[in-house]
Amino acid sequence: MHSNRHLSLILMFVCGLLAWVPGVWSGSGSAIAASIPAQVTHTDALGRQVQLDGAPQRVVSLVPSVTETIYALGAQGLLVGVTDFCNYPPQAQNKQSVGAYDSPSIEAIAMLRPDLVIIAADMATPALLQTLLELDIPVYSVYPRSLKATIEMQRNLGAVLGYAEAGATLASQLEQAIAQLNQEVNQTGVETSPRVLLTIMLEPLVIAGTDTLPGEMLACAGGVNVATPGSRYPMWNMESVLAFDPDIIIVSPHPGTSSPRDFFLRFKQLRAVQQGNVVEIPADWLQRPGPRIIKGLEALRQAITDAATHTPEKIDATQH
Amino acid sequence: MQPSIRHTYLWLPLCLLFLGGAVVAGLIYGTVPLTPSELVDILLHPQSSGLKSTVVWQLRLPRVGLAALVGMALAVSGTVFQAVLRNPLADPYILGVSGGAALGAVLALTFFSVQSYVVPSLAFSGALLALFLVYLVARAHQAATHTLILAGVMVGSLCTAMLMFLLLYAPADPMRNALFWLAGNLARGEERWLPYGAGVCMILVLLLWSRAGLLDVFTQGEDVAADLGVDIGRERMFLFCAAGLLVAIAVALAGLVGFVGLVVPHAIRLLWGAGHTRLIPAAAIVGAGFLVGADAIARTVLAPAEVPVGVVTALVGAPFFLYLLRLRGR
Repeated sequence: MHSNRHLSLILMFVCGLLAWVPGVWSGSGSAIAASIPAQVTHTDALGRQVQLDGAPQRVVSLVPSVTETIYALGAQGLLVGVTDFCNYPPQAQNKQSVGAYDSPSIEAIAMLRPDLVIIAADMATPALLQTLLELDIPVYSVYPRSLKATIEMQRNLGAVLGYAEAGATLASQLEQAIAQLNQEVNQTGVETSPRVLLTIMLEPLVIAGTDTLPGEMLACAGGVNVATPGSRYPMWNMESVLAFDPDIIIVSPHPGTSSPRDFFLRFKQLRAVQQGNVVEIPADWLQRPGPRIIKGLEALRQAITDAATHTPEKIDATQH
Repeated sequence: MQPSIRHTYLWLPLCLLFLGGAVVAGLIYGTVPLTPSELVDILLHPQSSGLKSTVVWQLRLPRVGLAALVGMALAVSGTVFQAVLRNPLADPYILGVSGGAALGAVLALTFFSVQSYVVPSLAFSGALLALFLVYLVARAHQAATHTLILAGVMVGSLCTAMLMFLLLYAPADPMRNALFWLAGNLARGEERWLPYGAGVCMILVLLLWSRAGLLDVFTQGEDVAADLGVDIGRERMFLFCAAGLLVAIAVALAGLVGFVGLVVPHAIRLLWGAGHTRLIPAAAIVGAGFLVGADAIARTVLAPAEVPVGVVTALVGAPFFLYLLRLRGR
């Protein structure tokens, strides 16, 4: 595995050197190679101009959320390669895997002869991007770090893959879900907003701050994040949880770990424990910027409305 | 220019003062602010309920206890390894124990439905296995210093390679947990295990202390030891096993906490000399206090968030150590 990768890197290096020696280096080999008529240009998340000969036919997705989106678009017929982490929908696991999203096998990608590779701007290294371009494989990057960016990604992926209509539908579904939540939250008013702790993992206790996708989703669903405003993924401890005493605690079960709910149930003095508001929501619904975001938003809203019915009077009386 | 704290008769009161101060700080500071009088009140009334009482009794006391235990174990084993190997850069993890423990922990996190006791147990087993491997190789050479170091580094490298291979195939979530585990964490301490860990560690520390004279001889060199009629190979093997066991316990309880085992023994040597009769107990007390204090800082500076304790030990320890080094030069 390792030696394969080293070998491939050496080969890449030699190829790069050969390409460089005659002086055909131009920063992006694919731009020149693809300069034939009937081409379309897309701007990706890195601001690069990606030129394609019409709609791609053989796509490798190095991003689990993109794989999910491609299935939701109905474009899975184009998908020839995925990562080890592309576990949804389940049939995605039957596609050929090219390795991990941050360190895929270049040889495995090349063997699939893709006419488009989709990468995440924050996960793929510049070296990976450069190597793919030197192999004349067009690369499109995505960077869905917010709800807005997720909606944009769905629309753009539809356009890039030749499923523009499906992409627009998918995007507007998410937009509508958000608009509906906003309306609902405005009707109930924000003064009754419960204070919520979003846990990412328990040991150590890592939580989602306000400046994250789950944090943004929480705000959208009408919850107030107990984390410091502007925070990303700080490490907390139980003492901080006890001190802030959130109304609702969201836990995300991971396969292999003991039930995350038990972790908090030991502390009976926590308001969320007393009122039965330690809620499990699958991690991928909150952390993966794909079509299941809508489920995550609904689950968060459900947790918040449930909490209000559990003890409607207490939430207001005990605001800090 | 001799600073007064270096008077040798002051070592015990100063060490105890340092530990006491660190423990008080560890109990007072955190996300929930406490005054000293509140702390005394809470400690005098263990039955009372309420947020602050819970925080002190259920969270801070076990954590301070764990930090003290791990700090002591790492500092004493670091002292012993530095003496036996006659290498100032020796730290508790030099003999591959860390690699074995890490491998065990990652195996547990990757392949087993993780109950809270599986990870520490497998980490402990991994550490012992690595230690045993080094022991087997070193025994054949009368535990010569360079053989110990080389065998330790090789076993460590082997474990790291297997670890990397394993991480390539680990699913995303266990891998993330494993990486966090490797970074060291005092929040996770299993309270049930703490008394046993403490008991075994105390016995090991006392055993090593009883060999203080021997350690002094070792620092003089093997020739001196041989001239004095010491069975070098056998004694070295014993010291190596006892110190290794200390590290294995520390790692099983808190993951890989860095820097304590390297810097505390040196700091004590710089302050009060290299005699092990004084060095071992002083390292034990100061090591405990150092990690308790570092953890208090780690929990407080960014509260409610927390800084990894390894960052604090190095950030506070390294400049202080450099200062001591400069001081001795005068």
